[in-house]
Amino acid sequence: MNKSSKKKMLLGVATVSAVVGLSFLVSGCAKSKTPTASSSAKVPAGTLTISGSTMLYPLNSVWAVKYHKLHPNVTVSVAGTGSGFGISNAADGNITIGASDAYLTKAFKKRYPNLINVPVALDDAQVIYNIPGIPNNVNLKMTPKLVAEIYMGKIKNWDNPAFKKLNPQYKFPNLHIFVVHRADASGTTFDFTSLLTDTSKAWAKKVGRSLSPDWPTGSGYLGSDAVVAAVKSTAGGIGYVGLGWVLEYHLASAAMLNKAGNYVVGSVKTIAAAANSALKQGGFPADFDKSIVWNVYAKNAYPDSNFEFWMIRKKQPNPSTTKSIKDLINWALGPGQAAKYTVKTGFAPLPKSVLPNVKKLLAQVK
Amino acid sequence: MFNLKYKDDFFKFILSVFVLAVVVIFLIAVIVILYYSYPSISRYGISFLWKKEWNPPAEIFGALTFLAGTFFVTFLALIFAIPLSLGTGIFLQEYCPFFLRGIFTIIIEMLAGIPSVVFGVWGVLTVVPWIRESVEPFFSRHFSGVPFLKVEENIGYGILAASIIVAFMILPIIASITKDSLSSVPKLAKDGALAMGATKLDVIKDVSMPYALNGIYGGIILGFGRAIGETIATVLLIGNQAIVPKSLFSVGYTISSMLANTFTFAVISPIYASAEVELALILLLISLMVNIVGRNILNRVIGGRFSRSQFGGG
Repeated sequence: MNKSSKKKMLLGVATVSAVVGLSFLVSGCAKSKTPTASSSAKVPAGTLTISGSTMLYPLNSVWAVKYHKLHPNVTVSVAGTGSGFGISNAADGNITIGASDAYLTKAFKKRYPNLINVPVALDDAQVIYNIPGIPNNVNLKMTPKLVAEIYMGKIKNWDNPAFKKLNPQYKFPNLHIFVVHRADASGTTFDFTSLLTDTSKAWAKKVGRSLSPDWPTGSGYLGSDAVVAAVKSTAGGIGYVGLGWVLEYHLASAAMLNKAGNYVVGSVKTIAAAANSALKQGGFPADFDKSIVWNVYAKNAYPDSNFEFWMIRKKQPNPSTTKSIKDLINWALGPGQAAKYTVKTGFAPLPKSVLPNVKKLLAQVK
Repeated sequence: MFNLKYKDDFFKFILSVFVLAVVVIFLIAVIVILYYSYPSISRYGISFLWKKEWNPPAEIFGALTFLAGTFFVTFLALIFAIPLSLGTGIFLQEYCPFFLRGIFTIIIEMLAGIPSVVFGVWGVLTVVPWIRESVEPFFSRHFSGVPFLKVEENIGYGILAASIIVAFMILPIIASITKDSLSSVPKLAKDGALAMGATKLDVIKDVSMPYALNGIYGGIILGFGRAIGETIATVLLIGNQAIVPKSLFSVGYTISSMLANTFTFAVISPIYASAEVELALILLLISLMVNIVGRNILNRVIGGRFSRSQFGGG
């Protein structure tokens, strides 16, 4: 074959790939590889794809690397594409596992009846602020109702007596409250608005819980880093971020009133206490379709945390995929909960009390 | 294997396949946008355009706040950019010493090539603090009663910050088209006016500008097309709050920044996604129209150069 005909072949290949690319565009979504059975290994060889929540992405990534080390015949490919993508594509079978910050609400369940959500870690939403005259390391006391009123634009100034009443030892300035929220769809927002929905009737009626609600006031920023920056750079700012950011930036967040009447600061310990208490006190849905907000009775429970989820299709294409998925989940919920994976990436480990219910859920995956 | 003639035909064939692929991709994009926006169009109808509420959980969708934000930013950016870029263009063509003209032209055209996120970052670092610490305090001291200049929140982010940065982004487009339009003014006409005793300013005012005006309109329209689709710089600067801005210093939301922020989540619900795609359709239609009109004007005035212009829209 001479040089120029090689070139032609290359051009031909380019054309073919362009055409393939086009059909790809039309069909809209990538098809994922499904694992193929291997003869000898304990875990069937293949590729599992996890895609969805960008917040959960760092944890999924460290898990994927470690799991591949333990099982070299299994590759876990991870992508951060947003929770919405994770849920809808897991339901359509385009990916093996959809990562999501939010559980399947009634509306989602109706649309995607073929999914289960397995909790894989704990996260929370904490209120941060920047008030001149109040030291940076102070955990101000706040109540969910008060926060709801701030975020509805009803309380507009830091000299409102409500702040002074909760924190009599500090002097609050006459300063406009600069309300900061997320601009992009976010699991932290879902958790945050869940607390406000469960504690303020006005909020429940006007806004409700959502990853991307119709905000009554304030201004929005892209990502939690931008929320931290906006609050920290503007006197009078208030915002909310998850545990990971509070740990990373050493932020002082509000001590939030819980159901038992205590003011609790969000931490690995208080979040785990909330989850444990929610599961043990009964009434928590066996399929985990709830945020762990407000109605948690433990004294040291932080009142605004939630599970991070993996969305999994009940009906898998073949038994070996089912086996691989279950093995990965069992590993992630067992050794994978170690602080070097979870706390390091900004999450709290799950309490052991979730395991019986997870087992029941996984029995539905076939 | 082949003789030369066939080789040539084959190469031509391959190239035409590539061109066809580009056209097909464009058509697919339009068809997909139309297809996915149809559920929203048929459900919400024309009132989609003037309803204010955007509430995904309740499946209530109205585009007014995003349309308002988009037009505010676009028009303010044009207001800031037009005098600056006309001045730049006139200076470069009429007054600039010859040895500097090349350098200035290159610098201005390089401005057009700076990625918009870089502009956005620069805006967050400099324009936002400047507005927060100097501009807003000044306006709240001296213009507090003026309706469109009221400072409600002294935060720096908002319509003004976004418009200033977008103005910098469209400046090179309008400036270089102004310069090119002026350079196409016949020398005889200018020389004639000078011979009759006109000053240089007279020539610019009465001969060059009227002659070049159509071209400059075209440039402004292209700048408009670029401004209306600008995404990441506005995401970073506008404050992303779905309200109809009441003041230069209000926060707001544009169609493009709203799509960038929420579309990956909107795919969760078909009607939610469809409403967002309808926003994209609106943006697509506006920028297509604007580009067609702008390019037509330019082609008539300056000739073919802008039918293959380096300045895209958005």
